[in-house]
Amino acid sequence: MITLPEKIAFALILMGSTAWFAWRISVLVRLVRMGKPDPDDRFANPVGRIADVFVDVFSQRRVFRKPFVGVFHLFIVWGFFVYAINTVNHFAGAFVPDFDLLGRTQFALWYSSVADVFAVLIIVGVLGLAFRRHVLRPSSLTRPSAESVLVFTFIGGAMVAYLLDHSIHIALGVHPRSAYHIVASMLAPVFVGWNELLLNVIAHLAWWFDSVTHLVLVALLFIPTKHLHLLAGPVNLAFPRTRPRGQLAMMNLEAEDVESFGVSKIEDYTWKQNLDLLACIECGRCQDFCPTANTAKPLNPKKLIVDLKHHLLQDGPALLKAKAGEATAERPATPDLIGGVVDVDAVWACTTCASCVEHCPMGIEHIDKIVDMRRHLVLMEAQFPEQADGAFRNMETAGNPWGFAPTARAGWAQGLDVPLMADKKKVDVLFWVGCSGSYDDRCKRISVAIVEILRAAGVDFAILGPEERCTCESARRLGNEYLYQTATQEIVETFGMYEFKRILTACPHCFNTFANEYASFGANYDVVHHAEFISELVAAGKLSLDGHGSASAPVAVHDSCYLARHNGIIDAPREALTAAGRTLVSVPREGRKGFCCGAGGGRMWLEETSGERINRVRAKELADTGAQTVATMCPFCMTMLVDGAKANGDGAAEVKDIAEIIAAALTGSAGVPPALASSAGGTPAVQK
Amino acid sequence: MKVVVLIKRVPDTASELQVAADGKSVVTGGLKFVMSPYDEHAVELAIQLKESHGAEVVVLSAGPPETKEIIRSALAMGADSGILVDTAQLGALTCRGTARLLAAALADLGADLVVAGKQAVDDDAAQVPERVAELLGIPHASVITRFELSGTTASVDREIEGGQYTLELPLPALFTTQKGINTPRYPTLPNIMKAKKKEIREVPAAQLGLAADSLSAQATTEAMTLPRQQRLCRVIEGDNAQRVKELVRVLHMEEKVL
Repeated sequence: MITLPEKIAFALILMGSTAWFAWRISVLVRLVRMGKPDPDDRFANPVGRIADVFVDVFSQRRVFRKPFVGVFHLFIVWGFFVYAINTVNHFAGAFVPDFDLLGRTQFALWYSSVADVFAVLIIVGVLGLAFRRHVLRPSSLTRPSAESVLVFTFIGGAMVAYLLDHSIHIALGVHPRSAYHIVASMLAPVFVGWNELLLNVIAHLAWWFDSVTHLVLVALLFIPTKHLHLLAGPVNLAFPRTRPRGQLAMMNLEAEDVESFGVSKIEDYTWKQNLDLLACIECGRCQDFCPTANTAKPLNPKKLIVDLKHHLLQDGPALLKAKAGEATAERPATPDLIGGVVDVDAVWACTTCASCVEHCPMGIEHIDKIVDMRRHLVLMEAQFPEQADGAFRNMETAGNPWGFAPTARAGWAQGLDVPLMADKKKVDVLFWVGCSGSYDDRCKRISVAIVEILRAAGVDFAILGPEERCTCESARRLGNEYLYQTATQEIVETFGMYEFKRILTACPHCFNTFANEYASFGANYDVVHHAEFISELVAAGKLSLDGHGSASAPVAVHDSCYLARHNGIIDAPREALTAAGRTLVSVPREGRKGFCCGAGGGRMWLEETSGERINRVRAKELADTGAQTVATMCPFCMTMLVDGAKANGDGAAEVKDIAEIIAAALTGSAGVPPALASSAGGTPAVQK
Repeated sequence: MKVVVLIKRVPDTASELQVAADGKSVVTGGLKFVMSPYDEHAVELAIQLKESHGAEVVVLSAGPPETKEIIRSALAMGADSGILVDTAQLGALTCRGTARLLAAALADLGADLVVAGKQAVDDDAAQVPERVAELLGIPHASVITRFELSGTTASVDREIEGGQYTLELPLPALFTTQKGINTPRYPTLPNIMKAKKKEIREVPAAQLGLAADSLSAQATTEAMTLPRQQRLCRVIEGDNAQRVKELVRVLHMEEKVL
């Protein structure tokens, strides 16, 4: 079909580009492998992993979480695979006349029809996505984006060129399979009667356009564009973590050979973290429910990943070269990772709410990258926001973030005759109260409500009282791994002194710590958060809930990130509330799409100085539902939402923990929260 | 240049204290002990001098063997070595005895500069460092909020009620630090790990060659009580004459402060 000079030119281009692709792939592979060993077992169950990737790619289930995008993207993905045979035929056909991978079979003829249809579907897919980006303009997408215009034009253009090439040959009467090219043969009549020379010129141009666009599209895979996701995306999806989402990587702080802890340079990341960067498609789903990106703060998860990716691709090759050379060679100068590539304030802004991780279609793990930078700042540089200093010191010496007396820990239980583990030694349920439930005046009422529920259900339980101490979960997420591990050793020792079947926590952060993190320390417990525990008691018929006057008042549920997204606990609190006769109103952002209160990731102890206040945004959203009660399950959320509503000047809705709502609905309850014994504590402020 | 920092082990400020059954002492079981917070400023000052002038920083404390833990904290901040004067075999010490022990331990250290917190937050006596300086015969200034070194002269600001002195003292000299002079650093992990290997020299009090009666307490504790915990607010009603009368009666008869 093409002339000899064209063949020669094409052969040269093909050889040159193949060599270039091979070189680029080797660079990318080396950039990924420049990373450190990953602490997770990324190679467990290889068959299952690969099967999952196939399902991900062919079903597009991750992309379909946004159905509009899902449909159009599916056309392109399936089109890509269907069209692959055609691509091979096209390239080989340049040198072997009438080459067909499928041979001279009936199947090959049918395939021509299918390929024609998919050429159209791909064009529809491209137009749909282009329409979304350039007309609908969702805020998650970058605009204008020369890259995306290039990709749209080339993918769509290649399909148009393909159809053009075939319809002209049909019009010229020289196409052997004209009957099977159902779309091309419909277009062919347009060209009948045109100047033959002109048609031949157009056909050659179309052929070249088709060829070159393919090469350019392949080339785009290997230069720093989001197009790289075609290659790195599926590979990345093959290496999801085996540890739970709520578990940070364990650090060996005693390691003698480690010179620097945490991440301060791009080469400090693990190979999987590097692969994550290459896989980013820049779709911006990570921003959709991100508390910082939505309140004008310096942290935007998409920008974080894209900036890290460009840093890796730009400065990585020089680092590789230096590494390959003399061991003593000096590290080439690159921009500082923290403070250069990534804004320091962005590092501290994250609430670790996991909305980015939850919604990323490429399986990127954002939180770990941020915590690793915090680890470096805290452990190596002792650099952190000054409010964290007081919290760290108090957690260390007083065992709580505010610096209240450790001996006053059970003050909330005064007069309630709550049994202590030290006296009982052996119980069914160890009730882990947590710092807020022990010292914060508002949250102490939650602890009391939980005790009422436990008593009503006849549960055999006890608390640790003065033997309890802060888990230092928030310190860990602020990067203070040393403090966290010290606290963990103490707590595991305390647990070891007693016998219990389950640990009940009143705080999702304590829950996540025991349920997901302690396994790294070889300590495994059956842990339950009170939202689930209450729901279990209700289901088992152990609680008699006849409701009270306000029972029908509608409730808006505010999901805790560490229950809903980190641990998938979404239905339990809703079931319990429904059982107590409450009607639930829907909240725009709830469940896995919930919006953080702003206190996670240790942000509870830090000032929020930039942008809108997260808790005010969330409190307003909840107030706008018109619900009279906002149900929380986390003491941090409680504090943030009460403060948020107060700052908004909005006192219409009361914020109640789910335990308080259930306790008030217990048969025989007065329907009002019990009075609290006065004791040490108060409205805590971090003492500096 | 050698800087010696005097530090003291005290109950954490968050502790709820209890008076022991004898009515004369504090129950120490169950208490968490820390370095007295003002001493942290002294350690920070010394470490800054280490960074700016290459000073060697030695931490010195007198107390029971557990005091090594807080010496370790100072080492984790960056001090070079520690000395513990073990007082386990001694009876109760007052400021007089403690100062003599510390002065004796300091005698052959050749310190160019001695720093300490302005007071320990347990007994709030604010005497030991000054007594040490007097025993050693070196000049001293208390409650400083600024320290600058030029050659062998130290220029300091000393906080007084409603104002401040700016003083210049020749070294060797002793200073006690007030809040505001600096922000004590948070120890880094490598420094915490290094601190575990740094030397803490233990000196039994008996080796210092002090006569037993020179350490004896010159005062005895008769009784110890906790400050009243419950703070009740009370509004006295009536016309002014009645209210004054009632106020005087309450202050005299009930509160017994008049």
